[in-house]
Amino acid sequence: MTAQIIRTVTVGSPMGLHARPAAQLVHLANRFKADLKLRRTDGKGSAADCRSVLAMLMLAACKDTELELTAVGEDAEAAAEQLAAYFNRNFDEN
Amino acid sequence: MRVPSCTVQAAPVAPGVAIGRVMILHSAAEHGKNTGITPDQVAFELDKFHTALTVTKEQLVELQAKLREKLRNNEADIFEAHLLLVEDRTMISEVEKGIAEDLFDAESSIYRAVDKFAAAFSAVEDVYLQERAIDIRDVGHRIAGNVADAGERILAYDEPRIVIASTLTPSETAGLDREKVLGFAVETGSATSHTAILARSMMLPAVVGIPRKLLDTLTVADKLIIDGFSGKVIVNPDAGTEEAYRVKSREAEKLYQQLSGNRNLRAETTDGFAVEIVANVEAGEDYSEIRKNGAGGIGLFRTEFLFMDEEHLPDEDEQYEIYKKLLIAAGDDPVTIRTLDIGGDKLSNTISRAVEQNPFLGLRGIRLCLRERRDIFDTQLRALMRAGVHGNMQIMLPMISCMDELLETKEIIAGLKAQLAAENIPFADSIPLGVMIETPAAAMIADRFAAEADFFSIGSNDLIQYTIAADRSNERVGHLYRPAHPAVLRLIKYTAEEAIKQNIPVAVCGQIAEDMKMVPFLLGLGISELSMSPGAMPLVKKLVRSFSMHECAELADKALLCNDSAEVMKLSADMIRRLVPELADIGE
Repeated sequence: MTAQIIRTVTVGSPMGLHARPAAQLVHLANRFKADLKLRRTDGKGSAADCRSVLAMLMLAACKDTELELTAVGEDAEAAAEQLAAYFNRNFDEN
Repeated sequence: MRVPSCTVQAAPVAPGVAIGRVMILHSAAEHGKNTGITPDQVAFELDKFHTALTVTKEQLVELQAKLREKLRNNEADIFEAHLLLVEDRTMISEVEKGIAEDLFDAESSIYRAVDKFAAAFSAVEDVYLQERAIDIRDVGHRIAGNVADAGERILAYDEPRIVIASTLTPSETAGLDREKVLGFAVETGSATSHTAILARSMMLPAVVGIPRKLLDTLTVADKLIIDGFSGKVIVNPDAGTEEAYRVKSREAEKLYQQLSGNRNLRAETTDGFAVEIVANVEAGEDYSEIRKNGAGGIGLFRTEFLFMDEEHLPDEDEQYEIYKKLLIAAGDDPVTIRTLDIGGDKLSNTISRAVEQNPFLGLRGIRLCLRERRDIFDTQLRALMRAGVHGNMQIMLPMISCMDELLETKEIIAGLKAQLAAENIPFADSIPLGVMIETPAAAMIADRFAAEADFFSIGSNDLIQYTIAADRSNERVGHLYRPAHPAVLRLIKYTAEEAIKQNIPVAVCGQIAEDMKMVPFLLGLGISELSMSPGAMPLVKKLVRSFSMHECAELADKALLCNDSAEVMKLSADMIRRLVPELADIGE
């Protein structure tokens, strides 16, 4: 059965979701089979593929932006867990 | 969209006919325009785009590795993001859509995608994120920069093509795969530009002065005929025209084959006057091939190409080896080497950075060597004198306008000889030292120069432009650049007369030496040596063997009294039609 996990994450890094964390997110996403998407909760833009660094950057998510993470697939739970953790660690920037 | 069939007139600079599709060499300044394509070009553009992506990826990996050595890991990660952008699905599919659906070429599609994404970032209020637009533009620019190269790389496996470009630098021309080039059609340049010189030495047809508008509209799908005899460029010819040109091309080829038959005969007039036929040679050309074409020596060895690598100027030993190799290859044949002639239109980035308002009247040739770069001049002269022991060498000084330039050079040479002797280094003690006659000033005191120089070589390209004060590559006055101007002929006459009187040889090493309609006059005025591109030698030999000196002298006398070049050209055209009718149509 295909699992679908939805989590809400917030950009905590003062520099926002910039190039380096965007790249890291793509690397993380590539470790899983699940379909992973991020969408701004304020309704701006569309769902962004976590395997596209450009799509990540296109979220234009500055500090405190709230995003909805959707994971669909057999390892959806583990994937959502890992990505959310990366947001919660403020992209390992401190 | 294909350009409709049309014919444009350009200037012929290298003979022959080429028929084929085009290869467009972009200059960096042209990036970013929106160039449309036809559906049948989609596959080619996609191929270029993907090849460029692979190349870009390799470049970034290399760059990242270099930075890793210098920076903390986190910083090098920025390039990790760039690398991911190159592989990014969103970006790739946007560009593919631009090519396949919107029908733009790869470069345009990349810039369109980049603009779209960058605009999205710029709209964000956060300054840091706004700056991410820079990352995208940076990567986009890098990929687009690789697309043009990718095009060439793919074309390297495609059929041979006609190269079209706004301008071609000598290194671009030299860097082309000769097997894959049919000919050249270039917007700017002249018969004396390096593109033309190289095209002739590659024996490929070339025209210059194609209209900008044509250059902008042509795509890789368009077919061209370039006629290097008449200068005509025919775009997307109909079947009948193409067939007619194929016939013309075959006939020219046949004629050339016939002419090649007498390439080993002496260039002697019907009444027994012989003229030396020698070759203009670029560094790196194989003299044994040139000799097979009928050369009796080298009349002009240009050394500028040795100084093209900006990072590294050749030192004395390197130059010595190059000159020595050339002299050994030439055996007993005379080899005339011109000292560094940089300035004016020539490449000069590292050697002299000064910006001059009017470089053609500026510090070029011998002037630069004496005034600003004695170091280069001394090194070259020492290398030449050392190499001189290996063959039959002459040294030629370019851009001489005053006697003191020759006298000062003689003093320098005397000083260097003393140095070499003191260092116990072998050198040739009596290398003939000649001057190029390429300024009206030098021509008009040819009597004085003949007393001090061992030979003359008339550099007609410069002599014509300085006499008429018209730059051939300037399209607004190019029509005034007329080799057969009676003023030019009078300067040549005086120069040759004084040389003969004082018993020194007088050569011509410019474009007119291989211009069929000029050769009869040069013979008649007493020129003893014609130096030209190797491909032209069989034709000129055929011409010389068809004339009598008596007739040429009469013709030259008439030409000196003509009002203008048109009258002069008619004299020789009539004579060629009468005496060598099989060649009369080539120049039409």
